[in-house]
Amino acid sequence: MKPLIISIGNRYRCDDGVGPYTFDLLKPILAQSSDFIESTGDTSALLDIWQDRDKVILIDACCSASTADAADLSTIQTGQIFRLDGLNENLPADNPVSSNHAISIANAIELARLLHQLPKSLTIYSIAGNNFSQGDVISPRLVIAAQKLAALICNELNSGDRACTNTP
Amino acid sequence: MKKSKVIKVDYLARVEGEGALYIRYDEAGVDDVQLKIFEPPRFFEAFLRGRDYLEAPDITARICGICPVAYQMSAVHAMENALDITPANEIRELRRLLYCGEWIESHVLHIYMLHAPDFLGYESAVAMAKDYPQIVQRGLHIKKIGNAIVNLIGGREIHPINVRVGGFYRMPTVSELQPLREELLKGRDMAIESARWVASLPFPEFKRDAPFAYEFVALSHPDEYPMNEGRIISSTGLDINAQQYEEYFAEEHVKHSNALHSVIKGREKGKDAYLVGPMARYNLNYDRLSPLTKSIAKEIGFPPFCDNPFQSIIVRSLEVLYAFDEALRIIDSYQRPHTPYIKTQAKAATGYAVTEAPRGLLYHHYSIDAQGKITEAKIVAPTSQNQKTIENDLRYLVPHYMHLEEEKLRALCEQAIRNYDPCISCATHFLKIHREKNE
Repeated sequence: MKPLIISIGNRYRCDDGVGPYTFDLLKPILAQSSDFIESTGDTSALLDIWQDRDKVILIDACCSASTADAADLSTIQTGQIFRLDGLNENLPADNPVSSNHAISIANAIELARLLHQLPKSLTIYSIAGNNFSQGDVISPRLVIAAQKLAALICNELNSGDRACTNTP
Repeated sequence: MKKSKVIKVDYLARVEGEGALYIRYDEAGVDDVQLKIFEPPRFFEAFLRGRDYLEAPDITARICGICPVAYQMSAVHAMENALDITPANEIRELRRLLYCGEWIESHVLHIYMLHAPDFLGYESAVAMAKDYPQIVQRGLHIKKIGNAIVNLIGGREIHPINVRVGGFYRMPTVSELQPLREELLKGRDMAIESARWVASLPFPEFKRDAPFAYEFVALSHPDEYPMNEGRIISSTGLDINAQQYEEYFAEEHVKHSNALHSVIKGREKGKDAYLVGPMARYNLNYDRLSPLTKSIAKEIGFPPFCDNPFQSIIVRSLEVLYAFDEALRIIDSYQRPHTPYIKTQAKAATGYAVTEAPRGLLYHHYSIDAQGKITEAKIVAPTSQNQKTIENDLRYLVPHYMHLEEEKLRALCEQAIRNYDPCISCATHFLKIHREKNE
């Protein structure tokens, strides 16, 4: 089964659109070898989307020090790329202020775990953003980071290693 | 001196609306209740001015990520009212199908992910899923079918883009609807199971007798359970059309809320609140539910009239079942029209519409000039209309449950807010409670 690449983010909230932006960079390169889904924002739908998949890569934006209140985020720099094993590492707690009726990605993963709907491998890439206001302009540092991340993902999929798997 | 206690919630988190809760009470009763909505005004009505009338459905859809169809429906109907056009019956039916999809996704999200955990003592749906995995899975499955309807008819699941004044940009073919039909049949069976399960939940006792009984307000249509059309009626005899809405209902600013409170005009202060949403729709339109929905209501022992808001979750589950039944009826009789929309010509005019969003009445009123630019817009959302009733519920609820320990009383108050599925409801799992004792 082909790897599945999912982007999350709103293209009209500046740096929040870095997930779809990276998605757009990858799609022409990996269209033959991977499947692509741009999440509509309904994170509960992720359970069905990634169930039974061997390898899923999820790309999203996260807060940097300049946008987050939490002290433990104070060292995060705009454009910094994070790689998490979605099956074995905990995502940061929800930011209660920023969500709406949708469930968070962390909750979607936990729900999928409980309902046995996780993929065999789930890698989460996140790029720290600086500006989440209205608009479709992504900060220059994030544009560079997205290009770097696209290369990383291509490399990861081509080399077939560094998988985050739940197969013992 | 009497002891005064305060339930204070500084921030209703994880919400579309930003709000807080404050209740001050003592042994004699509740002194003050404030559902504080401090989300900054969003100025949708202001920035609609100067925009083309054809843009209204897509701009207003952005008001809500859960019920964008409702905003689109009220907007297109108001514009069509202004322009004196009536789309073909096939378009009318397809709009109703789209609304069925939204009712399903919105109601099911609320039933399973937001409200059911309250009744079973869990802090979230994720926590509930540990003990009830199959139940949560069913909820997600039903919601997915609602999403599929909105996706097929609306062009995408959230903020659909296929709705336009005069009709749709594109109408699906009969064969495109057939795969959906198969899913709807499965979904209807699951909706029946869902209603049975919801009815088995434990419900807190709560009743508001006269003179504090609810005034239910909903649309009513002679031939169908209301969604897009009908007259505005109430349990006390109101019967008006959409154009008369502002003659009978007013919005007031209260100091503690950035969301205006709606009231019925001409009523004594304190007796001017009203209730919109599933419970009002059900009570005023029970006889227009489908035979299957009524038979399931009877089977689960749920009467044609409900005035315990904690049981509004049952009404939602019955409306989900109705939406499946109705969606199947529409698909089975669907014929694709020759043209997907009526071409419209701008003219200086004013239009009004009320439709039934999942949470209740949604009123739109627009004026446009001869070039079709919007000169005036007014939108009254259901949550705004229910705010005063939510506060009143808390006012009457707390005295009956003051024997509960602080944590349980707070949880009950949160649950009472969630009875209305307001856009602030999903935050209440994260509330903090503070008690102040003054000797």
